[in-house]
Amino acid sequence: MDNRDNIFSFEIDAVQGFFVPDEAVLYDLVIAGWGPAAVSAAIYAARKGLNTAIVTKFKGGQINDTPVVENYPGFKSIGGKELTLEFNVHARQYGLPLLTGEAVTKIEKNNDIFYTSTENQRILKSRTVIYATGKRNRRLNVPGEEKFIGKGVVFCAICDAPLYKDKKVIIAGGNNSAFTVATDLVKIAKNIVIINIVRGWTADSYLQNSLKKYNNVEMLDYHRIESITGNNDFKGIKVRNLETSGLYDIDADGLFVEIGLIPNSDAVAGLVALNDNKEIITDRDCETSLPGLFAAGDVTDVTYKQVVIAAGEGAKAALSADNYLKFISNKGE
Amino acid sequence: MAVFNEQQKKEIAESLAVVKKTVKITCVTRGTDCRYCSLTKEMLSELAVLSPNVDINFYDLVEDQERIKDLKIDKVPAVILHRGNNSNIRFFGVPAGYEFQTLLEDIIILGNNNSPLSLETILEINKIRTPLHIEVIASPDCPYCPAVVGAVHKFAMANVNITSDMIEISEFPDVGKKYEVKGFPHTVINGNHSVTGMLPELELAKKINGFVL
Repeated sequence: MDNRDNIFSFEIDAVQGFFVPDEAVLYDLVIAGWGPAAVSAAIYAARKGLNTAIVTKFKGGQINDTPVVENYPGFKSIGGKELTLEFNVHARQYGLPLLTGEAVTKIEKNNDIFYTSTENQRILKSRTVIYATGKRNRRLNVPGEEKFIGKGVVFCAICDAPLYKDKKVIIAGGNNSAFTVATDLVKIAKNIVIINIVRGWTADSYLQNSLKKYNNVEMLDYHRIESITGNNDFKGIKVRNLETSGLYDIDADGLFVEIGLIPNSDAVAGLVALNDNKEIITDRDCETSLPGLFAAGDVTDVTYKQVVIAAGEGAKAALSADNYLKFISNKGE
Repeated sequence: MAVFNEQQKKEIAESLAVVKKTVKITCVTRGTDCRYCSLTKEMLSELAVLSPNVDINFYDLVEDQERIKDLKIDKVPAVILHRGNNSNIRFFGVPAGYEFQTLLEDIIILGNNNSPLSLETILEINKIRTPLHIEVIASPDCPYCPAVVGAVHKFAMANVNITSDMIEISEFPDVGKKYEVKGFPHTVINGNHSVTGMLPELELAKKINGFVL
């Protein structure tokens, strides 16, 4: 538990967190989110002189949960947390008002004004919006999951892994995220069971190979978790072997869920067109089906969900928002 | 060796330049048997130099026990931010990493006497009329923890009946065992109700009121 290697990393962006957006102001642009797409959009918007406010559940997006990023130009290898800090430091110099700790719950457009509502019942007004809220962890949606979230069912491995030292843990998922969590946990946990619902592991081969040297890892391919067991305390799972249809119990101390992501598009569902995966459909300029509302990053249908692509899309969305504002401004003259 | 490098000092000074009123901070440490007490002292000493409006007093838990008895400190290092005569905004464990942001934010809010809580949250939190103790058990690597620590510290700034603590689990593992912590942030209300995970401030305020009102 004694992980103090990062003790000297000090996140110094309190000023940005303090100057909350003013609900009385009509902003040029409100940005929802604070991952790579949103940060990049904010930098470009600030440099274009747009009066911009930002609202986000938390700073960093999915890269906060990523141990290492090795494909972002300028950084051969950098922790997700450290890259977030670099983003924050870069964006902070523009002094944009930023509301943290509350997600956008609804966006409406009336008479060319966007009204962005938040979880704390604030409403921000703007002439354009960039929606860059990323994705969140997909849940298993099995009995017992909700009851044991934070009490044995884990969605933030980087937060909670130290609590499972010398314990038996189950990891749900067969993808890169699941194996990245496994490679971290295998060093501290007593035993690991990795469960994959589809036939065949999808994680990169180098990640799969990295686990082969450990003898405390069990891999169950083509198995489905049917429920979480336990009355008051987490006990384990019921799992079905999809090959044989056999159902059996696995007792453990925790379950790490890494079965993919779903887009945070709820606040704009019904307002803009979504695809079947509930991703926001955008064109090459990051425009959505609603004029003035732009979207960028993993919440959209852009192909290849990567940090560098999200950052590029965010920049593009800000430039498109700037063009849109010039267009409606000229139209009014 | 300095805790902050020159770039960090510059950024901290810029951040604290907006502090208009003096913010009083008490730091309680112990000479022995405290791994991070000296680091906490050094960090706060360097911080105090970076703003004329940050006033930090240092005490030893043992040697100064009579002078600090009203603070009722049971763990060190402890960092207490004061609002007038109130001492209800507290960090137990060195406020570094993600929690350093919360410390700076607390100083800036107190130094401007202007709560960033939404009106609805302030109305909710002011329903509390009796003493309430909120403890947020945080992990050094948890990016969601500062939002909750910051929220409950703002609750304490808005309502003197509330005492809000950040407790850093790696320095106080017994607290984690006591409350059977299985996820972060883990928020404990009056020692017997708990919420795991990050909630928006208004929802958290309503949840707390649901437990105690």
